[in-house]
Amino acid sequence: MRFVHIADVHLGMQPDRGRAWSEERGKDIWRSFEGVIDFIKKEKIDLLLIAGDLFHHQPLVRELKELNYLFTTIPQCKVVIMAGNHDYLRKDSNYLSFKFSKNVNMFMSRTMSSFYFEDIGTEVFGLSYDSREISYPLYQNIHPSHSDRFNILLAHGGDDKHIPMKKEEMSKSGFHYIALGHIHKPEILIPDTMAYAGSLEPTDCNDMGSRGFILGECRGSKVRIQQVFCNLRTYVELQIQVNGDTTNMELRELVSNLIEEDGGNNIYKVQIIGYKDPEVEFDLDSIYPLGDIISVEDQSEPDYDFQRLSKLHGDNLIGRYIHHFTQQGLDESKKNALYYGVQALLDSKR
Amino acid sequence: MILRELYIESFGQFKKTRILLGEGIHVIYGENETGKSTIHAFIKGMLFGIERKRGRAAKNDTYSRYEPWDQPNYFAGMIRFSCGDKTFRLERNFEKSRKEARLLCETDGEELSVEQGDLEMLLDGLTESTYDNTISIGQLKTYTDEKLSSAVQNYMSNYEDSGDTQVDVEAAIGELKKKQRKLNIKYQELKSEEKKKRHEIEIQRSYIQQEIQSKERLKQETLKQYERAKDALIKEEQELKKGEKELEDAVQEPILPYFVIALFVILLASFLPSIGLKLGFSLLGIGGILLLWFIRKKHHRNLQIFKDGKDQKINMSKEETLKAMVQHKDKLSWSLDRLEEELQERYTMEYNKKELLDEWMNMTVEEKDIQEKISSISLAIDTIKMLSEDLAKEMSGDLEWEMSSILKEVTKGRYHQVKLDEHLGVTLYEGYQMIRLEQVSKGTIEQVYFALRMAVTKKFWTTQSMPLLFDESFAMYDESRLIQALHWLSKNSKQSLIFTCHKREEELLNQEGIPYSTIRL
Repeated sequence: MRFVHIADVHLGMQPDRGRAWSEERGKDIWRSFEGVIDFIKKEKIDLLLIAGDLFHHQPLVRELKELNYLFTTIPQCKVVIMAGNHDYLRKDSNYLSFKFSKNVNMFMSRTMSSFYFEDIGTEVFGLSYDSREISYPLYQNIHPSHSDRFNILLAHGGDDKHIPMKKEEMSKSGFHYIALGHIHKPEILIPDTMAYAGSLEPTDCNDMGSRGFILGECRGSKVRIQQVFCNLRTYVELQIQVNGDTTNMELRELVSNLIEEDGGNNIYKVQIIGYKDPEVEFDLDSIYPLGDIISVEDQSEPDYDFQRLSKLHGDNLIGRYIHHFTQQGLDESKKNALYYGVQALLDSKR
Repeated sequence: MILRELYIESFGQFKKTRILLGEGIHVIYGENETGKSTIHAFIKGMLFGIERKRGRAAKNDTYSRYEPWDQPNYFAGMIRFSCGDKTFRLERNFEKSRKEARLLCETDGEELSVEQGDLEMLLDGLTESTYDNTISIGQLKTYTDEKLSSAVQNYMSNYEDSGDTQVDVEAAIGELKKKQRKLNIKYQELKSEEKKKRHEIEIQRSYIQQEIQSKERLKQETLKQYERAKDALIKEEQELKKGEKELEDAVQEPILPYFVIALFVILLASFLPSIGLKLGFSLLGIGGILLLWFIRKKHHRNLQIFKDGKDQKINMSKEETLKAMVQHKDKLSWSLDRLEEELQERYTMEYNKKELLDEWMNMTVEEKDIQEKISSISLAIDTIKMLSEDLAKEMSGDLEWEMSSILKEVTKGRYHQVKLDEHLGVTLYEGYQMIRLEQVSKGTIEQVYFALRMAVTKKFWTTQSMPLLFDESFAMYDESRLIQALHWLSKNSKQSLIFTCHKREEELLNQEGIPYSTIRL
């Protein structure tokens, strides 16, 4: 029996809201999902587990129609869906009234229940969120009912406000596989036993790395799972090293080159590091148009030789100012204060 | 630096005049108009040159005042001074078209350059303003405590001017504030862009709300129409049923009345005399009645057939109306269902938009970055302020200390402490008593001023001593105070030149046994 485990698809979401590519990314999410359905069709997968947050918001009827159409193209695959904290079952949720295709099974309430598929000898246990937050450990003390079946627990959450879980306990509760959702970064907690599928596409600029789904196979009661990465776009961090000679034009060139090297297809976070000429102020605004750039951070530091300056100025105001900061631990904001102050004081001499 | 010799070739009323100086106190005595101010001006002029002022100011500038009377445009002079163990010779020609200055080290013969600032360097960066504030102590004016405070402040800021690494705290803070403002503007821009985006979503949301409202209204109306259609339908069906019943009723012709009449006829017949008549009458009667009944029945039937025909037509049209009404009702019902679906969708969409707005409350990375920078700048500004205040306090602390010890000496211990507050107001301590300046005599205020001038000079000239030039400074002093001042000078000043038109200074110096030299003009 082969299954695919996905979660946190967030259909309907438009990541990087406000940016020019935001709408396209919303379409990317649908495309990614269609890709999974395609995969299921080609590979003749028997079971699709969706561990919550399939939709980013309350699903509209027309969205469910699109979704259902895709499910009708994989009639031989059984689909089990649970609602997560984003697409939770409000009392007027369309999930409840929509007539899904025959192969689709959905948990309709917060009460634990299960779907048994005799032909593949598999029982899937789970529930659906009916509110944005659930602080009860609803997955505690849940055990499968028939040990001769292949038992899967479909679960969503894992932090304080979203069904806290004791992962160790759960792994010993008798389920052959625990399909988790809620964390967008895919993570195999216990090999072949418990895993977060992660989202299909990164949804936020802090979601670095590849995304995709989990492909599993079970023979008897033995399970093997593997991660399959399929995301269309990635958030990539570009680090630009500057020095005392770097000008704004050069900086832009450096950024453009790095983007080109990467293929230009991803979404970039630019970080400027190194020691720059204290007189130069980098124009960060001019960097954004060079590609799909979500953020530009200037972490470069002005090239002051504080030891020399301190010696040169001894006990006067500049000397004291440098000493005041260098003698205490320098965190980010104090470092910046040191730079700003020294620059202003040195400038005022002229 | 010690002035050794003044040689005036031609300056003001002086021609080829030589004055020799050494260490210690010199009393330069001359009646009014004998040229004391001229010599002051000469010394200053030699050190700094004399700039011709322009325009109207030219009439009364230093240049004009001291232009030699008989040979205008030819004035010049020379001073010799020693710095450390070397002696130097400085010559100048003040004439405007030939301004020349020569600086020569007599000890080792080295020729130095005034233009390139060698003189300044020798004299530790002495400037005109410093000269006026430390070396040259002019005519004494009556100082109120206010003036004294501003004098102290003035000296403080000039004292801060010492050294080449002076920063302009005001300017530095100004620059930082400007940076902050720029960042704030950027932040506002970002915020307003965000607001615009939120606004877009709000607009979308309100558009959906509008749609919801109009569809709700439509739904209500449709519902009403539907109800009305339903009622009309029911009524129509009821009427149809009634009509049928009426028809049924009409078909039956009651036999009973005829029966009664027949009985009546028989009763009537019973009154007849003979049986034959009775029978005949009854038969006739019954026959007649039967005939009547048949005729009526036929008539009825014809009527009925006629009626049926008509009724059928009416019924058919009624059925059609009914069908139409049912269709209408169904259509409304279907519209209602559709509206309901559309409303549901829109309610969901509206809810989703609201959730989206809620989600969107956090600051973006950019905004946070800017806020952090702004707070770093604030930290920088606060630190600069704090450190420069500390520095000022220290300086004033130093000044305070110096002033106190000088004042103590010249008041023979009476006022042993001076305190300068933040506003550089002066407080004196007599014993344990705190005395404000308004409360002491003018003479004491002058001594405080003296202590201030001496303290500032001492603090300022740290690497080498400088001569002190007093121009009629002690005119207002009483005898005892003057004695104290002279003692102090004798002990603490390497070279003092006291210009005076009184004999007092000399007399007291003699009286106190303080060594001095006299120069008579």
